[in-house]
This record gives sequence, structure tokens and C-alpha cells, in this order.
Amino acid sequence: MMELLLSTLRLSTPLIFAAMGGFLCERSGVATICLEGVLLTSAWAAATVTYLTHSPYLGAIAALIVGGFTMFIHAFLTVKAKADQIISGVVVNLIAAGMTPLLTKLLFGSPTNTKAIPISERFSSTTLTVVACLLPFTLYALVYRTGLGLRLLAAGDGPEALETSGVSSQKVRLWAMSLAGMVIGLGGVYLSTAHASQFTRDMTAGRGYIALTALIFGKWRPIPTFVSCLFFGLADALQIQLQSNPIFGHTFPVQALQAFPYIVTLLVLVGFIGNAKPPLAIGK
Amino acid sequence: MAQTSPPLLEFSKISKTFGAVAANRDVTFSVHSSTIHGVVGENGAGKSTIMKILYGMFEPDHGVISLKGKPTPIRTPQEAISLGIGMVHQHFMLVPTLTVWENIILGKEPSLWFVDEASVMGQLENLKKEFGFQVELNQKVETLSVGHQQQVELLKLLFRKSDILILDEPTAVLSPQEVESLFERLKNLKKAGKTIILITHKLKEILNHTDCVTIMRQGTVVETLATRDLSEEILAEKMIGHKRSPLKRHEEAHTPQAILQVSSLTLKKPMGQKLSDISFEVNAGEIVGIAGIEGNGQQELIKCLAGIERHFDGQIVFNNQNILDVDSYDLKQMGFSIIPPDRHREAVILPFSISENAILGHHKEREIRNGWFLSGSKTEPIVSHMIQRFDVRPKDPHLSMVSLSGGNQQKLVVARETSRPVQFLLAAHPTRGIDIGAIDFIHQHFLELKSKGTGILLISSELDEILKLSDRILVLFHGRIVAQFTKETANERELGLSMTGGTV
Amino acid sequence: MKFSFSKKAVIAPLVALAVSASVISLFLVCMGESPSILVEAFTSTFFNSFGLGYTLYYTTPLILTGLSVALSFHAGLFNIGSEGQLHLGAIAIVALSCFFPNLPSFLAVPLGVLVALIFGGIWGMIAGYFKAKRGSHEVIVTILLNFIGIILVNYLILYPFKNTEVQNPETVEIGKGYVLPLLSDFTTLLGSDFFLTTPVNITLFLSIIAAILCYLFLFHTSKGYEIRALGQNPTAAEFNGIAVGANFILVLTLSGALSGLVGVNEVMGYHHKLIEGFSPQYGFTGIAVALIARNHPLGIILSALLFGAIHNGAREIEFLSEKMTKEVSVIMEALIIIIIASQPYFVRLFSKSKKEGAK
Repeated sequence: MMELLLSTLRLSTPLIFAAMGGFLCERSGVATICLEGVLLTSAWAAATVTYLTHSPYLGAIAALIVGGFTMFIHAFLTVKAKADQIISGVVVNLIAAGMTPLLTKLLFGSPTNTKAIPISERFSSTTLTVVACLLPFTLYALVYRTGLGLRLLAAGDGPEALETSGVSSQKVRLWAMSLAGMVIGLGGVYLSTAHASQFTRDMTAGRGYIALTALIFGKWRPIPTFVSCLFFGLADALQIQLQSNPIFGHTFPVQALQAFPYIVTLLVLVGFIGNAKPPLAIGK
Repeated sequence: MAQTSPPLLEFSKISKTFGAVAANRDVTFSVHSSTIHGVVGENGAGKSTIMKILYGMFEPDHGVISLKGKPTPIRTPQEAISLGIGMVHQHFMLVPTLTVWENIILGKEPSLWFVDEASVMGQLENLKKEFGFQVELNQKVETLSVGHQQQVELLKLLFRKSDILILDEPTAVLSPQEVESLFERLKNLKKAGKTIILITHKLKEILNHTDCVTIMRQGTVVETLATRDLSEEILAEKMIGHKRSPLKRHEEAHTPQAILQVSSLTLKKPMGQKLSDISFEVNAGEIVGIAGIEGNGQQELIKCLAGIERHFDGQIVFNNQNILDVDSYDLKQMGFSIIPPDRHREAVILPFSISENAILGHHKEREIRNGWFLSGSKTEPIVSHMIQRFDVRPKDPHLSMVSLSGGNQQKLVVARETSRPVQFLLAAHPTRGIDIGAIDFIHQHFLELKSKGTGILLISSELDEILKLSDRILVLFHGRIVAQFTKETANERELGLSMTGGTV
Repeated sequence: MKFSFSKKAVIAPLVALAVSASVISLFLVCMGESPSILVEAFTSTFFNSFGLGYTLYYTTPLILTGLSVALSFHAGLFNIGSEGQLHLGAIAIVALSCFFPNLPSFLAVPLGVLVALIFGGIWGMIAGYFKAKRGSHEVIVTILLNFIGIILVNYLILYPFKNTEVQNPETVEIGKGYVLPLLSDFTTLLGSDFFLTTPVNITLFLSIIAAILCYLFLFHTSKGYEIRALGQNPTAAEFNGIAVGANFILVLTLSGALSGLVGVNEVMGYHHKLIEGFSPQYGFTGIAVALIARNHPLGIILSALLFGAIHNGAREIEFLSEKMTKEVSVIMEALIIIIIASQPYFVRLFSKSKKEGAK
């Protein structure tokens, strides 16, 4: 039981970082299909820089910078160039999926993975999990109790009102999204240097999308989103347990278990929340 | 009025063009301190453009704005705000999901970090008391009535210590009583030293409440005058540039035959009862007006009638047929026409061409098809007939709908909805935001339809329009019909009273 | 909206292509390789029978997924689920052949095409149904359906339909009757060796016909008119008797069916079996194809050809270069989308500086 709980927390951590980044971005009025891509590039940066410099902290800083920059591409396309938010998100995911193996091959000879980081140079996963659990409450205070948060909410729910109050909603979005990129970057650090010891091709494996669904399921509020991340983490943990422990003498085919979190997500999405109300300016 | 002191605000030779359209040409006038200055003109006369230039939202192509005698470039709303200029836009600029106090401090928060709610509240309560506002600070803006939302907008300006307050069509959505209290408030503000610029197309407001008035027509200033020298006739003539011809009335010859019967229509929504127990009928050759302040169930009633909202109790019967039994496309072909309230959102498809818009709602008819395919050659004569008959300009059916003015777009909508035999017409805010020429044209057309036996249900927030056209008037308040009048018994005062739930 | 091949519609993709090619060359130079590789790779994709054959083979699925995305775009929907839908279409053909392996061609071919349409369509319809009835956002639902669909198909490849005689994750071969002729079969008849040993097959013509049908449907029928009206302004459409939900379901079903046809090209056209991971993200590339063609069904034929060439060229680059991987095509696609999508920004920037220059 304790094991399941710990495993749930471990598996929820990257989801929480990604979902909280998504929270900041979507609350400012921009859809974030690109969580997956940001998670991927920052995971790559963390593993690569940690391996090259032997410092997990430099690796983490690199991940934050790369995560922030990847999100900035999305921000530039959507906010400055006013491109379609979904298309821009898909592009960012494409870039991430294309660049990471290319650069990996360039630096390490093989496109599939970076070299393993020795255990002494890995990031503490406990620290990151604790940070992830505190993050939703910090963001709650930041967004719902401060002047900056007020501007963020206004950029998402009434950008015109914000503009006529003399504040540029574009600037608010650019800042919010860059910050979001860094938050997601922590998820990347966790994936490649704490949870695992190297970057592998497509190692995010859909976590960005699950985080996005957790955000929707949490109705774009930080605490409920946190709870739904834990829920998806639990689904994943159960899946792993079922793989190793046959039930009633049957082992499930691994694909059924792989599909399990997605099916749960889909059922949750269409069954329980139906018409959730996103921030009003999203998609515009 | 102290005409000797230099004017607070001077516009000189301001011009602004959008594409080929000159929205403002050499606009020149001045506004004096502590006055209520009206800017009046038809829709499209350039009133809003000049005010948006003043508020830094548009950059003028030419011309200078001077503040207290000094030429002052205003490039952004932020600069305007710091110069003490504030604006209440026609469409309120509020964040619906935030509370009243959050909306008020937005952009001028006491701190970008943690906000001391108690001290903000104290400050705002004082402001409320000083100028007599009643709005509750902790409520979410989306739950407020329009009147209260407007108070939030004014409080926002006062909180920022604005000295020049621009109000763009502030009375368009208010009840007559709310209008009175708005002007009471504006007089207090004037006494407190504020300067108010009032943009409106309503002549009575100008005559009753302003000190000075600037009349605009087709992007230019016709004249700036002291209000006391004016009468309504003179003002109207200067505004439209010619005398207005009265509506031609036709012989009344209808035998009452109900086209539309609504009985005990009730609509429940999770957010509360939206319509309760509404019953009325519309006869052939009759115009029934529905008066009421917006947000009292008009939108819901329209959606029920249009077959978009289908989960209601009670019945809507058109020509002895329950409308829920008929596909809403087929209903249109049976002579049930709708002019929806919001032209851009509900009536036209802006990126489509004029001719594509002209077939909307009749796009499956055999007369415009060749077998499976839509036929351009069969559509063309139908569309050009509409364009000719309703004088839609420009006349090229291949142009995009965006290239038409509001009035011409609306004429096309009316043409589309009434070119085929029409038994019942739901006309919701049919003349909102269009010029007087188009308004008169559409009103005249309604009277013609009526004489041919069409039953019209006219839903409008403009009391003048309701009074001018309707044979019977129903008043909608909080989702109920609270009063009924006939053409003979209706008067503005009693209507206004029942619109706010008062009894006569 | 009138779609015509205006100058801008042609220039923008060309500029995008030029810029992204320059960026890739820069990459190559940085890696210490000659950018001539790029030239070599791209000439070989068009100017010899082998290269052209492969380019056209990759063009075929991209026309279909491009149409799939574009069709839903016209209704204001974003179908990201093409990838899952094409997996379902492909496995359906294999399943049909497993149940009826000995059908004669005249039955097997149309039935194979039909089941690909139906199963791709069902996968799209699920998203349409949830959108219409539950208001769920189609983007999220189709993403989830991608994962579920691909996992499901991989399971079917590895267990029920597995070819147990080989190690590779692939299904048994389909019956002879299901096999479609290659274009080289026709050229051989004419005594030429053009297209010989390339996988381009008659599904190419099927996809071009699909594009023409989509064009006629969208721009010349009442239903197509309804769909475009709905996409431009759903509220106005609803006020004019256009059923929103039913049309959403219809569009996503058709959109899924078009993606499902990709299976015909892969299974009946070339491999004659289904291999795990057979799609190099045709579904996502379809988004780029649709975007470049501005969702015009006929333009999609051309933009699919462009992306087919990029895809083929990237394989060539991987072969020619020591360090580049085939992901270079993904990067090139992404660059092209970025440039096209941010075109209004650059146009604004450009016209502004021109204006100021004139002053």
C-alpha cells in the first residue's frame, strides 16, 4: 500500500509540473497543446548538460532555460504572430520530437539515448517531488492573491479590459508563458535526471497530454488540477503493479495496461466534466 | 460658462482613415473644463473614432490634440490614463469572472505582489459613498445587471483619478429610470470638477443634460454649439443633413387570425428560471412589440422561437404546428423568418460573400441547385433582385460581407428573411447600430409586410421603435410578461415603469 | 471565403521552403558537412524514376491526411486524430483478409477500401459524437483516441494477427485478391522500366480522386456550404437551420474515413501486411499539408507532393550524411509551418518598415 502511494507520487511529479505550467499558460489565455514538447526538450537539456558538466544543478538550469525558450517559441507564434494556438502547439511538439534525437545523435552518436548519468550526479527525486507538491499552493497564492495574478487572470478572461486599463495583455502572456516553460522544465529535470538516468527518445510518452487533461479535469484551478494529476499518477502506478502481479491467474496484455490511463482519461473527460469552461480568451 | 479660460481639451484637424474609408476628416472642436459636452451623430459619423483617438487606441493620420493648451500626443491607453483621461466603452471593458473590486483596481493595483484587500476595500467604500454608488464590491461582475456594471466602469475611472470621463453611448442598455440616475450621478461628478464627454445618438439626452454639443456627420464636425440654443428639430436636421420623411402608413384591414401562438412557455436553466409562463399570440397583419431592458429573457425567448433552445415547457405553435415537430430548416421554408439580435454573431457570416450570405437558411432549395450541386447561375438573379429591391451598396454580389457597412449588411439580412413569402417574422433589434436612412427603410418595409398579412414580433430595447411600429406591446421583466398595452394606451412613462417591475 | 490560387498563396510556401532549406544547410555546415547533400537529396527525389516513385508513394497518404485535417478545419474543428484513424483503417483491412483470405479481386478490393473507410470513420465519429453530445473538446479527445488506437492496433499486430513465422512485429500477409497494382506494373506493360522497384501504387489516383470529390463537396454542394458556414460562424449557422451537432459528427466521420484510406496505400498497395510503427507521423504531417494549402482540397495535392518530397529527401540525407537523422524532415516541416503561420507578423513588420521608409 505504502509502495503504491510512493509510486503514485513519483509518477505524478512530472504531470504536476507540466500541468502547473499549463495552468499558467492557459490562464493567460493561450491553449497549450505543446506541454509534451516543452517537457521533452527540457528533459533532453537536463540529461545532456548534467552528463557533460557532471553537475545536476547546471543541468537543471539548462532545462529551465530550454523549457522557457521552447515555450517562448509558442508564445511568439501565438501572441506576436497571432498564429492559431493549436497549430503552434503542434509545431512546438514537432520541433521537440525532431530536434532532440538529432542533437542526441550529434553529441552521443546514437539518436535513441544520451549516455547514462552516474547515480551520484543525479538530481534528488524526493526534493523535486516535494517541490511539485508545494507548487500548486504557491501558484494558487500567486495567481489569486497578488496584483500580478490579477493581471494574469484578466489576460485570460478579458484581455480587452486589461488593455483598456493600460496593461499590455501581450506582455502578460509572454511573461506567464516563459515562466510556465520553466515550471514545465522542472518536470523535464525530474524525468531525465531524477526518475531516469538518461534521456531516451520520446521519453515523455504522452505525459504532456495527460497533464493537459488533468488541467481540464481540474477546471483550470491549481488545487483540483493537482488532485487530478495524483489521480492519473495512481492510474499509472496501478498499471505498473498489474503488469507484475497477475490477477486471478491472468496477466493482462501489456497494451491493455498501457492504454488504461488514456481510457480512464477519456472516460473522465467525456463522462464527468462534459462542458468545462476554459478561460474565455483561449483560442482567440 | 467661463468661455474666457482656455479650453481643457482641443482637437485640431484630426484625420483618420481605415483602408478607403475616412472615419474622421479635419475634426476640430474644443471641450471646456467642468462641463458635460455632448458629441452627437448618426452611427458611422465618426464619434467613436475620435474618442478612441483621444484614448490612445488609434493613432491619428494627421492633427493634434491639445490638453490645457499644450499639444499632447497620446499613443496608448496607458498614456491617456496617466493624463487623467478615462473612458467607459459602449461594450463594457470588464473581466466577467473577476469581482467588482478586482476589476476596479486592475492596471492600478496598489502592489503587484500581495494586495491588501482590507485597505483597498476601505478606499473603495469611501469612493462609493462620496459619489453615491450602490454596487457590491465582492460580487462577481458576471452576476451584475448592466446598470451596476456601468457603475463599476465609472468607479474604475474615479479610482484612477481621471478628470476627463468619456462615455460612449452609456444609455443604450439602461432602463429610463437607470438613465435618470446616471445623469444625476454625472451632474454630481461635474460639480466635483470632472469634465464629461458624452457620445450618443439620442437627441433628448443631449438637450436635457449637456452644456455644449458637437454635431458630427460623415466623419466631419458640422458645428459645436451651446445646448441651450438648440431644439430637437434643428439638432436632428444638422445631424442627418436633411429633413426626415415620416413613415407611410397603410390601410388597416386585418381580420384576426393567429399565426403564432405561444402558451405557458417556461424555461428552466441550472442558473435559475429564465422564462416563466409566457403566453401571447401574433396575428396575421399585426406587429407585436416586446419591450424590456436587455437581459430580462429576450435572448432566451428568441432562442426558443428559433428552435435553438428546445428543452422548454409549454408550446410554441406556428400555423397550427408545434415548432418542435418541424426541423428548423424546414420551418424557415414554411414562412417562419428570423432577424437575429446580434448581426455579426448570429445573422451573417462575415468571411462569406454577399451572395453566399443571401442564400443562408435557404441553401438546400431546389431553385438554386443543379442536381447535387449549387448553381451560381441560378443563384445570381435571386441575389441581384434582393440587392436591387433593398438598395444594398455596393452592388457586387461577389464582394465579401465585411466590405458592407452595418446598415447595408442589415438590409441584406432583412432582404434574405423577407424576400420569400413570409407569414411570421421575428425581428430582434432589427435596427441596432445602423444609420437613420437604413432604419427608416427597414421600418417602412415592416409596415409593408404587415399590410400584406405578415405577423411580426418585434423585440427591441429602443422604446421609440416599439412605440412607432407596434399594434400591441408586451413588457418582459425577469422572464415574465408583466404588462400589456395597445397602440392607443401605451405611453413612454408607464412602459418605462413596468420595464423595471414597477406597477402602473 | 473564396479560395483561389492567388500569388500570395504560392509565394508564401516557396519563401518558407527556401528559408527552411537554408536553415538545414546551415545545420549541415555546422556539423562539418557539405550543404550540397541537400541539393543532391532533393534532386534525387524528383528527377529520377526511383526517387520520384518513392516521393509519390509518400505523397499518397499525405494527400489523404491533409484532406482529413482540412475537411474538419472547414467545419471549425481540429482533427488531430488522423494518426489513430489511419491505424484503425489499416488494421481493418488485415482483419478482413484474415476472415476472408480467398476473396476474388473484384470483391476484395472494394471491400478492403470500404472497411478502411468505415473503421477510420468510426474512430473519427467517436470524437464527433463526444463533441456534439458532451461538448468535449475534439482536440483533446482525438489526441487520446490516437494513443488508444495505436496501442490497440499494436496489440492486434502482436497477438491475433501476428505472423508467427517471423521475428518482426508484423501481421500475416493479406490474401492475393486484396493486392493493388503498382504503377510499375503498368509501365512494364508499356515496355518501360519507369517506377520499377518503387512502391507507388494506384492508391495515388484514389487519393487524387478523393481530393477532387472533397473540393466538389465543400464548394459546390449544399452540405458543403453548411459545413463551411458552420466553421465560419456556428451561431449564425444555427440561427439559419443548420444542425450543429449532426454536422460535427458527419464531418469528423468523413475526416476519419479519409485518414482510414491511408491503410489502403500501406497494406493493399505496398507492404501487403501491417508493420508496427508503419506511419512516420503521416497524421501530424497532414496538419502541415493542410495549412500550406490553406485547406483547399486541390492545393493539398501540391502541398502533399512537397511534403512527400521532403520526407523522401530526408531519408536520402540520412543515408548520405554521417550525422543527420531522418528527423530532419520533421524539423523542416516545423520550420515551414512556423513561417507560414507567422506570415501575417512578418508581412506587418515588412509593410511597417516600408511605410516608415517612405516617410
